[in-house]
Amino acid sequence: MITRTFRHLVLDNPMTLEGARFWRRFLRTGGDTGRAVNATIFVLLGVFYLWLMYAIVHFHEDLNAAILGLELMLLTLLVPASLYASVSGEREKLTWDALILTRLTPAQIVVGKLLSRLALIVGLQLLIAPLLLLSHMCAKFNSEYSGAALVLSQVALFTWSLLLAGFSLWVSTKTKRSVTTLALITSALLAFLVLLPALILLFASGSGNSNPEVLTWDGTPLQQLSACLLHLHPVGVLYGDLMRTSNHQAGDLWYAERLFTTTPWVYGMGALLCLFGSWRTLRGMEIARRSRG
Amino acid sequence: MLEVKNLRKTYGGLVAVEGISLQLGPGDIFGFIGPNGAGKTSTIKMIATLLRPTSGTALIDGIDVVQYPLEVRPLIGYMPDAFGVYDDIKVWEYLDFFAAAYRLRRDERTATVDRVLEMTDLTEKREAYVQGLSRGMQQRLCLAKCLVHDPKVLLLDEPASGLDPRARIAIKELIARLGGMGKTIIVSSHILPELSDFCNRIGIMERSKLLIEGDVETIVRELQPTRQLLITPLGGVHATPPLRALLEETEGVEKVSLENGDDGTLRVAFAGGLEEQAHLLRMLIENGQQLCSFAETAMDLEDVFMRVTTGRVH
Repeated sequence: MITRTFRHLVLDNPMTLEGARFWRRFLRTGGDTGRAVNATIFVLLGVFYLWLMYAIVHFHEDLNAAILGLELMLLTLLVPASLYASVSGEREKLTWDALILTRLTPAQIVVGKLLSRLALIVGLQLLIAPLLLLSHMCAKFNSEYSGAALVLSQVALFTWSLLLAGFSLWVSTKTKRSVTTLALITSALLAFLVLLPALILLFASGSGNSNPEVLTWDGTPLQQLSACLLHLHPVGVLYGDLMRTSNHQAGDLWYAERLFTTTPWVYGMGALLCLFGSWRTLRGMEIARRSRG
Repeated sequence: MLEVKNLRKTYGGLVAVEGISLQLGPGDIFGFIGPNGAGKTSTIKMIATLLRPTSGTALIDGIDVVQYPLEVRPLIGYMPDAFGVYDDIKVWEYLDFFAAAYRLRRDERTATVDRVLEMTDLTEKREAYVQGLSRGMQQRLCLAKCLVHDPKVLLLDEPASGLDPRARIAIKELIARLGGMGKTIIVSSHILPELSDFCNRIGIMERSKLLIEGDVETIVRELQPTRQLLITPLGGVHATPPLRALLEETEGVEKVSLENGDDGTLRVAFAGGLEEQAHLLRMLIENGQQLCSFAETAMDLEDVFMRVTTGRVH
């Protein structure tokens, strides 16, 4: 049963061709000029990568905080950018009818589109892992992050990326135009990453007090909710929880436990919910076509 | 193979398709003619399971398209009037993708892709990127995609629109070949000469209704019970009056009208058969009429269309 499902969704799923298309588009845009631009960008990125390694080794700098920030930023930008047009784009480019007339199931479409982008997430994390390791080993002073915290950071970032991918796919199935999808995803991200924390820090922590430390589980219900939301914020996870865990401050065990048991799980469950939502929407569209036209 | 029963589609108050019925067998090529907005695309989409009819249904190989769309889909190949192709993949990859999507086994797919590439004359473009193909080649590729799973019914909505004459001829030949292979084909178009060459049956739609349907010869006979003869006298328009007078006195001639004022050609509606037609020619010559030409003109699809339709749209 499991093997059959795996074959159906992964091995025999033609939608995984999306992956090849995605990478080709990434590497091959615009003929000779595009190739030259791509080559230049890759050379510059390669030089920057090597320079980072050199800086870490030579100056014994602990750049983990910066590297994690860069990784978070890249994943937050690239994952939605690679998925926002996955379904709405098919409708715009008039390829959707052809797809729906085949024997592909909605689950194959969802999984195929997701799998092709997983390579992007994993690839980026694998690329950044040596930098984190090097920075951790070569730091002159004690690293702000323990080894376990670094591993945790990667788990948190992976599940955060999955959440973004699932959410982008879900919004894409709900909208007819890619530009609408992009606008909705961008708005949701800005609201969650910028607006919500700003409002919490302004209002929930009490009048005139913008110190997030007062947002504890012992506060008012609003403060508890705010604390919960802030700790689900990826920046909060990378620069708050993990650092505190690493520096063995008070509540060390509690933080680590919460991080292990909540944040990546919440991200992961959110991703699963979004994927389920995408599947339901695609299935609903098939039924709607049949019942409503 | 395809049976359409009282198919009707409304969008709110607008009736897009009004009670269409038709029956097609294997090898039939049905030309769906009508002006833009007549309801051709809606009808084809309903048969293709992409639109649910308001009432009525269609059976493909005995399977109801409304009740069992998923079972019907592998039996049809649908080419929409406006279609898109995936960028950044090669021609063979595009076809292989659809072959896999129709659940063809991995070992069958290469042979299938080669077969449809050859059929659509795209073998040379096997390794080309899809977005680099011309419009005509993309049309052929779309048709090739419709053929990968060897469907019994092909629904082609304006397959030759936007093509140059050479590409148009190539598509026409291909459709005729597919009909010869026993596939039931519905081709819609508003360009009549395009259909007259290879359709054995036609249906004319206007303002959501199927005005007339049947094989081309029967329809022409129904609409034009008399033979139409074009007779041009030597001497041009000056020689026309005596010829006209003679024709009007002849048995079997129902109507004589001037077809061309420059050379004096007359159009004659003649009720006789081929033998009577030969007698008429001999009689005219024996009566001293000098003729440049004497020919029967057949009613073409354009004439049929103009006779049947009113030119009104929704």
